[in-house]
Amino acid sequence: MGISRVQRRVFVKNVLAVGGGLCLLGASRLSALGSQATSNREVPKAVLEWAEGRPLNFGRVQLVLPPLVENGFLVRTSVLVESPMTEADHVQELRLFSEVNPSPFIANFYLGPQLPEARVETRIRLADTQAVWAVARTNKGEFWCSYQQVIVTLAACAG
Amino acid sequence: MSDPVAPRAVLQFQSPASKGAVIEILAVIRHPMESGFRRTERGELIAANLIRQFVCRFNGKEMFRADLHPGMGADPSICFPFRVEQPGEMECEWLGDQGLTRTVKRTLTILQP
Repeated sequence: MGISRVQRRVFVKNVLAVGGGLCLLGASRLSALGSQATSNREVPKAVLEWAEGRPLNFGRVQLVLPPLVENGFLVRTSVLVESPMTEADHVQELRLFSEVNPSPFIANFYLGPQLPEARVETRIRLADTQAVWAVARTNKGEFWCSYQQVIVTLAACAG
Repeated sequence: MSDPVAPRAVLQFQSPASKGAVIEILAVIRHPMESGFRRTERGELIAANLIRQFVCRFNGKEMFRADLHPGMGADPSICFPFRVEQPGEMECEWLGDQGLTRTVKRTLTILQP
């Protein structure tokens, strides 16, 4: 009786350890997917059209979305752009774009030096697994962008 | 609440707040944000019914503006930071299809030390 109880305890411990390890592996894989900030992904057409040929810089924009959502109808999204938000240097406009939604446009936010920081939180709709893009335009006409991959298990069905 | 002319809208922030503090302004409106891409069971397209624009003013001065597109979720919620400098009136306005306009006002007071 005593021995079997110990064996059971060891078994449970091992199962938990292995399971936890797998979870960690999964999580690190997901975050690796999400934190890419390089330009090796194709930039959506809508973003290029907005930039009108001006260079798109990767960085300065922190886009926070859950890496995996069960339901694409309401996805909490927060965007923070590194900017002093002074009269001389501030973010004027911040846009969110979707790669595969029927319409690539999500929202355009008009900011300015009256705000203490360039940060917006909202809830968006995602039709399928895709990357969401956040692009900021400063008063100097620079474009800063970032994207975040989101896996959607139940799409916000467009049809 | 289900009245299409005046949907329920909420403007929320900390008040009274201390001078110099950064507070969060949260604006939410009840609205289906019908994208115009969905179809009925018969295959007919459901007409778009969207909130198109959101403006927030403080003492009449524009603080924040947004154009909303079909990618926004239903009951659009927008949260942004605001630096408290003086007391006044915060006013949020939503403009949408079918002649929708909705304005919500709330007073911001300064916390006396």
